[in-house]
Amino acid sequence: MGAPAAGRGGVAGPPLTGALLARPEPARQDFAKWAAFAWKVSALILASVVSIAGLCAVVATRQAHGLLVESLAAQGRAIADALAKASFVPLTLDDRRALAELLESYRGVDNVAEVRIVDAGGRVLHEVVRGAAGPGAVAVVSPILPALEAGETGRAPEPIGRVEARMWSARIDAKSRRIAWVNVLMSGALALLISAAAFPLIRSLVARMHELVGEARLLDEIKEANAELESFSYSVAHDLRAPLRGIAGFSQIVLEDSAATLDAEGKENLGKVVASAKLMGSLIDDILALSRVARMELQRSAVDMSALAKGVLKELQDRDPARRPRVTVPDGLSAEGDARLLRIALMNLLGNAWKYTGKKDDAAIEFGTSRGEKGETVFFVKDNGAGFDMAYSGKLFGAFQRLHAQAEFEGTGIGLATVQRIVRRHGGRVWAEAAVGKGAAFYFALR
Amino acid sequence: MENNAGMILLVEDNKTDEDLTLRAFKKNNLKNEIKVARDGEEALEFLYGTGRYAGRDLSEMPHLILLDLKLPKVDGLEVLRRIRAEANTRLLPVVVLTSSKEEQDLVKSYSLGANSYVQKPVDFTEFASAVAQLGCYWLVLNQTPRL
Repeated sequence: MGAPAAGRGGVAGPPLTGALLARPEPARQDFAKWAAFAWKVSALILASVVSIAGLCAVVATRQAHGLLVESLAAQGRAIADALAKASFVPLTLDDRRALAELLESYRGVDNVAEVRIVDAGGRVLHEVVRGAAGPGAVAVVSPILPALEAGETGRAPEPIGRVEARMWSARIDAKSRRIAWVNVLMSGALALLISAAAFPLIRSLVARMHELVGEARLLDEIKEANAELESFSYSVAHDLRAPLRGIAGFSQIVLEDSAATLDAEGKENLGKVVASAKLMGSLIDDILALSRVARMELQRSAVDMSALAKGVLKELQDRDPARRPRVTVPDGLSAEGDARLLRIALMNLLGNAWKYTGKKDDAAIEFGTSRGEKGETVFFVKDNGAGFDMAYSGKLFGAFQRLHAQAEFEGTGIGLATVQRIVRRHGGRVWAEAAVGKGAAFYFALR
Repeated sequence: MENNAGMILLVEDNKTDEDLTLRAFKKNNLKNEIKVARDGEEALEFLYGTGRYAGRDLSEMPHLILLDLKLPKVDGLEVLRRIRAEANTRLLPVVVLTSSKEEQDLVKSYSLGANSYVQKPVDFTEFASAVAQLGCYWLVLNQTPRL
């Protein structure tokens, strides 16, 4: 886990310490000492919140579970903000009880490993520990009383840095998804002096914990759903194609074996059965490819888009040697992204350009770049082929959506959905311009 | 096509695919004896002369194993792992012949020592041609060490 200093760097938000320093001196003499005391409590809680926010920011940059941890960091900053404005009233015994009850409500929650209220001597005032907390579930409470005592001079609590270093213990284990969150620490005497302002803070922390547990559960659900999807695609890949082989295979066998007894219409109809089964096979392959694109982990690097496009066009040419469309691909175009996915995107876009110029004598396909409105690089694939009616452009990127009849141009309607998913996974966007009979242009910008 | 008519072990649970494969062999004049095992367990019992194949003459080993991946009881990858782990089957050519071209299946199959990986095409003509090429390559062209 990162150093506290790095953690603090992560808290970009409000001028927390500034707000604290700007707090006006309490007017009444007899309250002065107490107020200073409360102030320090606030500073220390603040420090802990800041450190948690910072920690979360660090974790957020390092771990994949950005959603969970980032929101936690944001929450930490928001609480710190609120705290900076708070005034202090002693915590009553009822408040303590209410707090204990709130913490108690975690007993049945799997994701929260430990929640404790600990006094400065390390004595546990209240504790909720999950029975089977794994090794990833760690909650450590540092005694902060020494820091409190050291700072008891009424001046701004300098030792934030020091305290922060020692408060460096609350931990979110992104892997095991266990949230161990402990930062409610008081000395025995202080426990009775927690302000009412601090109590809502605690309450909001606890409420936030509830939310986080909810989010963690949601993440678990998503993970589960992904696993299910994975096994679903796996069985689609294996099981759904098998009966199609039967349908297509035995239709072809009948065509071969019984050619003599079949009339022309019978042969034609069996041919349609074969063609349908093959199309279904392609649909399954394409939908699996689309789902693979969604599941594949993004590996960004500098990608030579010119080389990629040329490679794809060569493949298209090899598959269809009879055609010779005019192809334009300038050298030196590059992008930042996942080369495997970008290749799939270009294969679909250039493959479409190849397909839809199939009925043109002077077919031309161009790959290139232009500048977008914000100066970003926009890649495009243009052709002078069949084009499409812009009135239907809204359907263009939907899975299984086609703007041409199967008899006119073959296809499954998955290609552009795949392109869109790839571009979106790169944080980019894709759009098109076209006119019937005049060709189409597809644009995409990555981020 | 002439070949030395070594035995082929086809591990396939789908009757339709079995029929299509047998037909593809016949169509390509590959006259090898084809032993069919309908799940992974049967394949292992056959190879090692256990269970329902107890006492089988183990000097008769297949020259080629065509292995489906998704099988009842013991799956294809486990069968492959066992084949590569046992001394008397370690060197047998194993061609994975399956529906899937999922990357994970390819990677796992090759990691476990598959000699080839072929996806069964939906189209029977393509399927027959794939089987013909497999038979021609593994049973005629390719040389394997004598066990």
